[in-house]
Amino acid sequence: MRHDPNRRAFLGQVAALGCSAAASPFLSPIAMASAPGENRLVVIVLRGALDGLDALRPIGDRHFAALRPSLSDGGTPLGDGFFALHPTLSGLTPLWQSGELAFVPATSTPYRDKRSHFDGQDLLEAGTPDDQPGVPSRDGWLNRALTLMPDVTARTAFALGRERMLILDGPAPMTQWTPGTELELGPQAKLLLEYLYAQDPLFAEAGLTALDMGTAQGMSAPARGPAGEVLARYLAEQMRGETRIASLSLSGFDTHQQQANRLRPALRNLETTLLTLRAEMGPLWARTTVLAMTEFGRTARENGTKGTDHGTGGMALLAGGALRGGRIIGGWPGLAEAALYDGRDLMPLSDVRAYAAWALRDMYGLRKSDLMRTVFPGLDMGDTPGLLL
Amino acid sequence: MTAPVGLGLIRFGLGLRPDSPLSVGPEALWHDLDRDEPPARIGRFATKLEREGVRVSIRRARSKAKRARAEPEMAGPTGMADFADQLRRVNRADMRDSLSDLRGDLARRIDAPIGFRQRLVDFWANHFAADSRPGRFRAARASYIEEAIRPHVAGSFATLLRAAALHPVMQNYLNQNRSVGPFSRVGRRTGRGLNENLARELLELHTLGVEGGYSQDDVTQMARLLTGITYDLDQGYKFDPRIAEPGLIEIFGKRYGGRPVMERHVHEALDDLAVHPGTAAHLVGKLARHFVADDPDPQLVAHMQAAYTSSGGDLRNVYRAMLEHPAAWTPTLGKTRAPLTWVAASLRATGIGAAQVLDMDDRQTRRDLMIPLQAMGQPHEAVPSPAGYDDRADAWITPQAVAARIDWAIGLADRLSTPPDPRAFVTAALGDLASPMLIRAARGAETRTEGVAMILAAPDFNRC
Repeated sequence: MRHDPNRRAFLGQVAALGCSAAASPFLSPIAMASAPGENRLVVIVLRGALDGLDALRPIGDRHFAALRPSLSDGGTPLGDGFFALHPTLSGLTPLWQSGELAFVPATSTPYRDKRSHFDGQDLLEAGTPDDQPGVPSRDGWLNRALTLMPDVTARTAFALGRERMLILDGPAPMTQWTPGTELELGPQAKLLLEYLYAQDPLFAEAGLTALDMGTAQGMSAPARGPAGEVLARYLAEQMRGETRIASLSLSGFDTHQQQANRLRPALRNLETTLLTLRAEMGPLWARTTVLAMTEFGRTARENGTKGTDHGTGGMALLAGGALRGGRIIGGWPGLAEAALYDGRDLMPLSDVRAYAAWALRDMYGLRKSDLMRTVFPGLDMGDTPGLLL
Repeated sequence: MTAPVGLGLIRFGLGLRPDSPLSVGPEALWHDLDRDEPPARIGRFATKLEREGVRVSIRRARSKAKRARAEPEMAGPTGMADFADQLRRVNRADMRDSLSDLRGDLARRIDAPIGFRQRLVDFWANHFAADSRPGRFRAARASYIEEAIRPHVAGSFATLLRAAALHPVMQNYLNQNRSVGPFSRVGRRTGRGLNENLARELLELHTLGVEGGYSQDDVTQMARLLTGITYDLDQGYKFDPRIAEPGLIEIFGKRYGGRPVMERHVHEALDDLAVHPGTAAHLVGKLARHFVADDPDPQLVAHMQAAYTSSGGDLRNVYRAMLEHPAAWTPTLGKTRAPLTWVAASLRATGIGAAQVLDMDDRQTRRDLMIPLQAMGQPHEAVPSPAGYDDRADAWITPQAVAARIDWAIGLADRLSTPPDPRAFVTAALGDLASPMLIRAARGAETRTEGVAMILAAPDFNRC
């Protein structure tokens, strides 16, 4: 066979497919607020329920030290010194100082009382109210947000990792990929497969993307090193290209015992992810916002095994060059017995979905009514927290 | 009717083997339903139930020990590590079973001369999608399919519905075990109430379908009627009159129930739902879309629906109606193979024997089967939602999943001691259904190994 596939022809076909995929029934002309544009949003799902009270320690709260006998030593005071960053996160202090980092210390999804990781993460990613407990969701809020944007192609949104990311799952096109997926294909076999996929409309886009990404030189080379660094470097590469919205998950936050030791690697991974992303995005960091959220917080009191158990109110973290950062957002409920949720957990003062909603509004011009109806059903966005500069 | 060689095996079965007959028509497929299958190598649900009981008692003991340590005078040195160890041991046993289930399942797919029955099992297992979430009965999906679905795929739908929808795995997945009739003995005493999940999915997914014309009130009534259906870790499925809502319950104009409430009232309602015209339309449409095309010929669907209605929901009659209709034999392959079907078809085409799969150790099973299937989008033992996998042809075809298929095809071809000549393999694998492009490409491959991998990864071999 001497038929050299005409690469440009495939690309034309691929582009055409991308457009038709974007024309989903969810896209009405009215809903098209504005193009995805140049702004980049990264949503990090912190799986396992991050202990916000440990990551961002309210050392100025007079009840804190008593609640946390083994978990209150050290930390880097921020701003007025009411909060201190966990020692392992001290590498983030420069971002705080330059206004590229902010925290929401007491927030949560609408999920209450059951405290199951599975349901909690499901709800966090689905973005729905807690009205159908236990019903596995079928799509995620980031995907529903995509359905409101025009000119979305499969590369506009990117989910990192092999596991299903419910948050980006749904009718709008998106790409899921794991750095390090390499195809050991000879050049001739690659050409032949490209030719075969390109002929078949059902396989063209996915097949050619698979071959492209799986055999790209250098793309999957740095698959060594700390997980967060590998992910962030790879992600930055996508976001310097066509990708505007991305999601990844970090885990290891479920610290029921010996938290002082066991939380460290997970926090270091988070820190590395953020710092690598910032370094690798270069000038585009100014157009990037990172939102890290977790399924729920942990108990205010340390437990009998120097750890913490599943709680309610937790912390969300925002970072990015466009962020109006260097501040604590959303207030502090206090740790007095009477101020705790259920007498045990940090009281959430806000619905964490509101911050995601305002980020989507400020970055992509999505309308409040669409955000509160389609993306986050049942959410009251409240007043703007003025997230961005 | 002369169908292309390979069409019957590819569209309705598990793909060609080197020893496959040239023609597999409606009669051969039909007889596949009656073929005696060798005993399954799939773990039993009773084992999963027992392990769940063990896990619960370990956790109980652990909480007790924790509470004891909270009292300073009782604090002892015994570590929580013991409990963690015990839990790990039980979980590991489940993991080992799960790997062995996967091998057993694939071996059976290789051994099946045709595999139509297996494809039906896959269809119904997806229709009655349920897995171990939220955290009960680890690795129990294979046994659920084996015991609640497989025996009933060629009988009456009412029997299948009862077996699958009321199975403890489904109950757990859709929270039926938490549903209590508010006016039942337990409900009045504790104030507990209904959980509508199973009732809703029973109407929306298992029977009538979302277009089936039922209301929220029907869902609530169905949930009331289902109370009493539950399970416990000693005996598994059971009917518990203490949580069953007493009184008459009206669903679609018919009254069920009474005092006392009984299990047979639930069965009566399920039997009626099974023969409801909405259920017939929902099921035959889904079957035709699964096997034939995303947008099947309306006459084919009507023919199947008539068979469903006239036989009172006898699935065998529905399959016969599908197989005998000419529209089911259009030569264009409009669907795509699910990952497990594609893996099985690849093993069949390359002549890998069932024994080779059964000989794999746990590490190999994990590396060569379990992890790849997950990367292809069909993790063993899990379903994406109560609606199951999306059945459109393009749903499996994402970049990551295609890359995983290419990667796995390369790995398989690499491991063949004597890879076949790609020019012959293209016909062995696809009969008359290889496209001229693929036949040309097979001639152009650089090595036999690459040629075989390319054929397995090509669109033609991924279609069904």
